[in-house]
Amino acid sequence: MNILLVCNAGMSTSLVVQKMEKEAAKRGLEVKIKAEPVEKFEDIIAEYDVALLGPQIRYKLKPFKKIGAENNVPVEVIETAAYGMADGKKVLDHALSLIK
Amino acid sequence: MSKIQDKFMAFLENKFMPVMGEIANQRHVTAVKNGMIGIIPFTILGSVMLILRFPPIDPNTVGTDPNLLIRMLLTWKNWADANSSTIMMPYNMSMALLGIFAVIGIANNLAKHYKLNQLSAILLSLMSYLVVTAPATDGALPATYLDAKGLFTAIIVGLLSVEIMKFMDDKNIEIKMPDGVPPAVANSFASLIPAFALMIVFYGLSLIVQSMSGMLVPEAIMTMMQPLVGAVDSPYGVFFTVLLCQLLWFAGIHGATTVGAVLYPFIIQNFNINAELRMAGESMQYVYTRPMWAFMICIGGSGATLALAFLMARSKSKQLSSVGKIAILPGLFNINEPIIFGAPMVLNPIMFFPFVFISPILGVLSYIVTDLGLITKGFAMGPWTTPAPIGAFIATLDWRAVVWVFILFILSGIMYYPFFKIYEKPLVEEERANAKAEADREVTASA
Repeated sequence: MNILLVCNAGMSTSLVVQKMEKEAAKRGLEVKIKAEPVEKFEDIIAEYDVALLGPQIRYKLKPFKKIGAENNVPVEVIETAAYGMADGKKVLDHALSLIK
Repeated sequence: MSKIQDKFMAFLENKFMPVMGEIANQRHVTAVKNGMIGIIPFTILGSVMLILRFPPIDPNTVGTDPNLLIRMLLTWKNWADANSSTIMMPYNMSMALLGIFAVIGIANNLAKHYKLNQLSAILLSLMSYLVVTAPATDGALPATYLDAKGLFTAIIVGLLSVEIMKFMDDKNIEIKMPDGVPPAVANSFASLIPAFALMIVFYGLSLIVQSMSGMLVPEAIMTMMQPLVGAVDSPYGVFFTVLLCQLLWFAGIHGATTVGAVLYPFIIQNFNINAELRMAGESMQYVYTRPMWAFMICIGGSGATLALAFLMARSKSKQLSSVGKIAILPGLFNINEPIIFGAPMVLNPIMFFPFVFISPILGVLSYIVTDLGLITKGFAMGPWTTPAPIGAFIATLDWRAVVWVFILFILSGIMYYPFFKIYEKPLVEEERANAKAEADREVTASA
């Protein structure tokens, strides 16, 4: 399972990625999670099963949803509070719920 | 009062945010933004050479008996003065050719958006840029406008040349090969007509501008832009650009990127021209620069929230203290999404005034202090994730700038404090009530 998190420079989101990886390890899940900057989205989306956007780039949701649909990848925005608190558990659950 | 507040929030969320989102997504804005990201490594490389060239020491202010550190700096300065042109070559081939890198980045991004052949687009736009900016004389390209002074020209030529290619592509204006010619051969003719068309347009434009004004295109563009550049480089320019950035963040949009798409070319140009002036031994011209934005206006990230992160980390409210603790470390590197979305600042009516207005105030104060000559103008730039005091020092090589950053940090803390207290109080009470209810339930359960 490959999960992509996207934010402006891929920096603030890498914080969330760390927490998600810990949570995934705790559950014994085989997942690859990566944070990437917004301008790389189009080039790499095909390699992932699901993509979540940081709330600060919510305005990209429409165009990215379209590109995601072309590649059969669901795209949604991370819930604001979970993002701010770097709540790895919640964000991981969100991502997993979209894959099924 | 609260009705007005509700209306304002609804306006931000339903009107302001979608419109600004559209602007941020607009293809030309995105291309320029990504082009500006592409030139960052070259400005940092050039900045390192500038620092090497200008050690932070003034021989005139050194006493008769300098200590070891001062003597080392003096040795460094003598060495740098003696080897100036060798040290500055990497600068001259990176930061001083900023326009070239910008036009390539912008053309590449716009061509990618239009799904045109990116390599052709880069080559053709580079040709267009060179013909208007650096027409060869005596076997050499004049480099005068290939640097930051050619940045606006690079933006215009980069966008316009790709638009012309797109137009020709849409209208199928190309050399048609008869069937049976291998596609690779046919493709080799594909960029022929655009090459001629772009040369005619841009060389023609350059000749017309030269004969009418005696100026090269980039010089004419600079002259035309001068009022706008002047308006941005003023206390009002600082106040309103930072205010807009903060309003966007308040509405939940990445304000720095959105405003930056338009603003960064100005303030990047400003510190680059300062660098040129400093190298030439002239006095620097611009006050509002990219490093001022990154290390004085945005200490700890947009909204200057680093001081607030420290306040929150010590809060009695569990919610605030956990956000504060998460936020301090990234905040030292000017990343503050945990605060913006965790506190949250977004659409938080209590935090509206401090979050939206503290940064513009810090900006105006920094402008005034720099303009008065109390701190040196910025002319170099490290990565924006450099901790603010270090970033400010690299930008100015002036220890007073470091002191100023600490003053701004304390000021922002003082201004955030009353609002933080108002926000904290009900949260603490609520948490206490919840804990009490929990305890009561346990007592009842065990009874």
